[in-house]
Amino acid sequence: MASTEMYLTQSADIASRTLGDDTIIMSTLDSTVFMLNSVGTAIWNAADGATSLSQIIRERVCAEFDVSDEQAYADAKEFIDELARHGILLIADAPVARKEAR
Amino acid sequence: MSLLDEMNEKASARGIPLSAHLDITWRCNERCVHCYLDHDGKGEMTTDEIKEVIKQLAECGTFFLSISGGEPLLRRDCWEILEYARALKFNVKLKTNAVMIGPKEAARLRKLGIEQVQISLYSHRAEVHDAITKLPGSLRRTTDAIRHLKANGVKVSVTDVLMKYNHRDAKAVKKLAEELGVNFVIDPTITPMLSGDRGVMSLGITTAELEEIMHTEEFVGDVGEFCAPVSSAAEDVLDGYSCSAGHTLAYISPFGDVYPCVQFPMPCGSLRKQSFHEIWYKSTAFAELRSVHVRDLHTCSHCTHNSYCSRCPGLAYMEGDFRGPSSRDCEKSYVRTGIPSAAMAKNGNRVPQFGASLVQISGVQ
Repeated sequence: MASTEMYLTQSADIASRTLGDDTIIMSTLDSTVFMLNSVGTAIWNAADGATSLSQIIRERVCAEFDVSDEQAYADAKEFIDELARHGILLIADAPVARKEAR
Repeated sequence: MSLLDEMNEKASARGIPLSAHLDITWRCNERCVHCYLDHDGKGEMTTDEIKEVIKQLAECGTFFLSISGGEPLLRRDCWEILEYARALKFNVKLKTNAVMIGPKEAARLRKLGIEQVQISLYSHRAEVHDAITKLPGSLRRTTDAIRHLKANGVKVSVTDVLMKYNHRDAKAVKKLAEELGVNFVIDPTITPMLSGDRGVMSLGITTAELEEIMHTEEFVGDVGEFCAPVSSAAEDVLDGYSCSAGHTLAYISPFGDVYPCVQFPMPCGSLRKQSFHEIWYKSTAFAELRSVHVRDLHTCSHCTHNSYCSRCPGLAYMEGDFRGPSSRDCEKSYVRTGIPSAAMAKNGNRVPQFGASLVQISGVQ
């Protein structure tokens, strides 16, 4: 499990839509496209900057899918690092404020 | 299969309106000679109505949103609408003549994360482009805007609509697009006015001119490959649809009326009376459209060109029958391959001509 907590925020430089269990994400910076499966979608939709990764894993992944905490965390970390490399997910070590569309 | 193709297939299978074209106004600061719209702004949706429509589209799964017009930037709330659409994480394309885009606006579009700005460019010569737009100085203003957009890292695509006035300039326009570093598309189709008036069709290029375009490497790539006849459609193509209109694409007018496509004026419902969800899933017009597969088309189903023909059901609708052929697409397939279409064979190997006003767009009652 994580030694320090992690908070995830969706970048503003993306377009995304969840269609059923899948989510399409397109970077507005370089038009890179990602398609997330149901586990990735669960993490993506919970990436509000306020919920910790361990809480997301516990409540959105392990509670919904047949996977251990350790395995889920390891898989999630790899997926998060990949999205972070493309600037699609932002990672912080403390909760961040969130803006709503009005 | 690319991820976008995969997404399109999933959306089609699930009946999701993945793409929407939203005209926020039909008013315009240009008066292009071939324009299919009138320019009356009376009764346009308010800012709140448009935001509500955009919210409903997001809830229905729409990802690709084209904001267009008329000239969308003529609306004072255009920026607010763009900001709202981006806040709801749409992939937004903006169709504009760009004459109102300066350095500040270009930077703002980049900051907003607009996916692409789509602009019409009719000639590299001001005397031709400006005569088509009827706005003096429009070529200079549009090309200046393209440079500002490019300087800010905004992707731009220019479309050259070919008419009798400008088709000879197409190669030079392509060269200009390359110099500007933007994508270039040619469009040889003139669309009848949504009022039903087909007078603008006389501005289109002739069959011989279309043939020349279709056999020019700069426009089609490998001419031999592009123009080679292909055997008629396999079973899976016959079970499919002509295009995405009404299947994964919807068009919304500035007055809240919903149609399958901007080029397919079959009224499907009014957003001032029903939700988008209700119209998309319950409209009898959409249901009828979706019931028609390629194999159900009375003429095109057995046409030799049906595996690659760009048959537009909207243009066919405007010719009187959306299950029928679209004469412009018959003409395109013919000039590509030299083989008459099934519709032409019925007409003595001539392209059917439609001079009369057959179908008129109307608001949804």
